[in-house]
Amino acid sequence: MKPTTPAAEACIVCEGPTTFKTVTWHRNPDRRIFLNNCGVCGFVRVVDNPWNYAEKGFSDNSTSGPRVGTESRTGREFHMAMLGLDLLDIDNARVLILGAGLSRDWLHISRDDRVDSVTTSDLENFNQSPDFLELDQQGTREFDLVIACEVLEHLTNPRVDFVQIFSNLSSRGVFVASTNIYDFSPLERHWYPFIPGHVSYHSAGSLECLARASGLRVDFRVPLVATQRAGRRKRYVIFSGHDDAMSTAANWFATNWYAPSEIDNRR
Amino acid sequence: MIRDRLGAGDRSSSSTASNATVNGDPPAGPCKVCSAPTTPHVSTPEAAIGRSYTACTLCGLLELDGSVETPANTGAAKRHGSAKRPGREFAIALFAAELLGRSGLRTLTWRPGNSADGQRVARIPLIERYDIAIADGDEPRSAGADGVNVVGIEAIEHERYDLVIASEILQLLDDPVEGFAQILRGANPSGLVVITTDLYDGSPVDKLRFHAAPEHHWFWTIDALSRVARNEGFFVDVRLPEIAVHRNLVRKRFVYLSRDPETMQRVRTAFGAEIHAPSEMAE
Repeated sequence: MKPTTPAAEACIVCEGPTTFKTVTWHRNPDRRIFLNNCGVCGFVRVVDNPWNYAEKGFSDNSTSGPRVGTESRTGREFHMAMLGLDLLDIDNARVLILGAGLSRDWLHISRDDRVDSVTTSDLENFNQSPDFLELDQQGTREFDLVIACEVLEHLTNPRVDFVQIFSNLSSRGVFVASTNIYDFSPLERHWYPFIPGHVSYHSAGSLECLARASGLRVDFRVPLVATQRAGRRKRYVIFSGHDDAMSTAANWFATNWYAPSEIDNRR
Repeated sequence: MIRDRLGAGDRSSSSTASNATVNGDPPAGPCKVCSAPTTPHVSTPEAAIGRSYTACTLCGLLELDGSVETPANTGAAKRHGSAKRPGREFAIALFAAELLGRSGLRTLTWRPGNSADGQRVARIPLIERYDIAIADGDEPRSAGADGVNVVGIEAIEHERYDLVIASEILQLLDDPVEGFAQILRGANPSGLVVITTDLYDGSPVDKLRFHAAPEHHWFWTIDALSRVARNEGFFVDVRLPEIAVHRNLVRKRFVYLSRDPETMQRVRTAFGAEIHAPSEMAE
C-alpha cells in the first residue's frame, strides 16, 4: 500500500495547526504540489518534493546559473560574504559556506583582506574546496560568518537543522542566508515551492520563530537581484545574537538601496 | 564609511574645505550633535543653489547656514495626502499599526501640514486616539476632521504614544539634539517612532537639492541620527521607501526607532514581506 501523508499535522517549525493544500501551478495544470501551510507562523512544508544533488546532479539554472560563482566570475555567495564582512567589521574572519554546491566563490572570498579562512560544507565536496567540512562535523569549529545561499528551502527538519547551523557561529558571529520568503499571496503563482528539492518555504514569521528558539535576532534585506530576475520575494536573511549587528545592518542600508548580489559587479 | 567618503569628497570636490572655506571667517564651532570639530564650506553655485554650511568631521552632520525660520507648515507637498489620494502619513500609520499588531494604539504625527491624511489615520481600526502636534502658525489641513485631535507641541510634553510619526521634520529643527530627543521621548517604552528624511551619504553637496531648501537647517547622516537615538536609549532601523524608487529619491529613507528590542524585531520581520517601506504612491 502506498504510504500516505496525514492531511493535517502540527507545523514542524512552531507546532501551530496547519492546513493541507494541493496547489496547481497557474501556468501548467499538470504541475502540482502538496503542502502543509501553518496558520500561525506561515511556514509552508512541501510534501514529497525531494532532489538528491549527490545522485541527480546540478542541472537546473538555479544551481548552475549566474548566481553560482565560477573561477572567473563572482556569484551571489561572494556578495553575501562581502555584506556579512561589512556587518562584522573584523579582521581575520573565519567564513563557512554551507551548501556551496558547484560555486567557486570560496576562491574569491578568500582573496578579501578581511578573511582569514574559507571553509565549505555540503553533501559532498562538489567544488573542490581545499577546506571542506563534512556536514556531520558542523558545530565542531567556530566561524565568524556563515553563508547559505539557497539552502534553507532544502532543509527537511528546520528546528534541528537551524540549531545545527547556528552551532557554527562564534559568539559575535553572523549568519547570512538567501532564500525566497513566503508572503501569504496565492501559492499557485509562486514557482519557488515547485522547484524539485524545495521542501521548506519559509515565511518571515517561521524564520523569526527559529531565530528566537536559539536566542537570535533576524533581519530581512532586499538584494539587488530581487528587483530583477530573482523576483520580489528574494531576501537575504541575517541572523545574529547581537543587536549591534542589526544596527550595523541598518547603517549599511542608510547609504545603500539594496544588498549586493550577482548582478552587482562593482566589486 | 561616510567619514571616508566625506574626506575623499572634500579633497576632490570643487566645493572643498580647502578652496571653498569662507576666507576670513572664524573657525566653525563644534558639531551640535557630537561636539567634534566642523569645517566650513560654501557649495558652488549650480542652478543657483549656492549655500554655506559646516560639515562635522566625525558624524558627518551638515549644518546649513542662513536658514530661514521654519515657515508655518502649510505648503502642499507631493507626499501629502489629498482628498482623493492617501499620502505618506497614512501609509506609515497603516503599516506601523499592522506590525505593532495591537489595538488601542495612541498615535501622534508631528506637524503634518497640508496633509489630508488625518481622518484616514484616525479611522485605522487599531488606532484609538490620533493627535497631531502643531507649532505656532501651523494650520493643519486635518484640523476638524473626525477623530483628529490638534494639540500644541508644548501640550504633549508628558504624553506618551505607541506610534509617533515625524515626516520631513528632522531637517527643520532649531536644536538638532533637543528637538529630535523631544520627538523620541513621545514614544512609550514599547512604542515605535517613524522618521522620514534624506540621509546625507557623502556625495558632493553641490548637486543635492535637499541642502538648498531655505528652511532646512540640517542634513543628517545615519551616524549623527544614531548618536542622538542611542543617547535616548533607542535602536535604529533604516529602510528604503517605495517612493524613493519611483521618484529616484536616492537619499530618502524611513527610519524606524524604538527602545524595545521586540518592537524592533517586529519591524524587521515585517520587511520579510515588504520589499520597500510603504509610502505615498507616485503620481
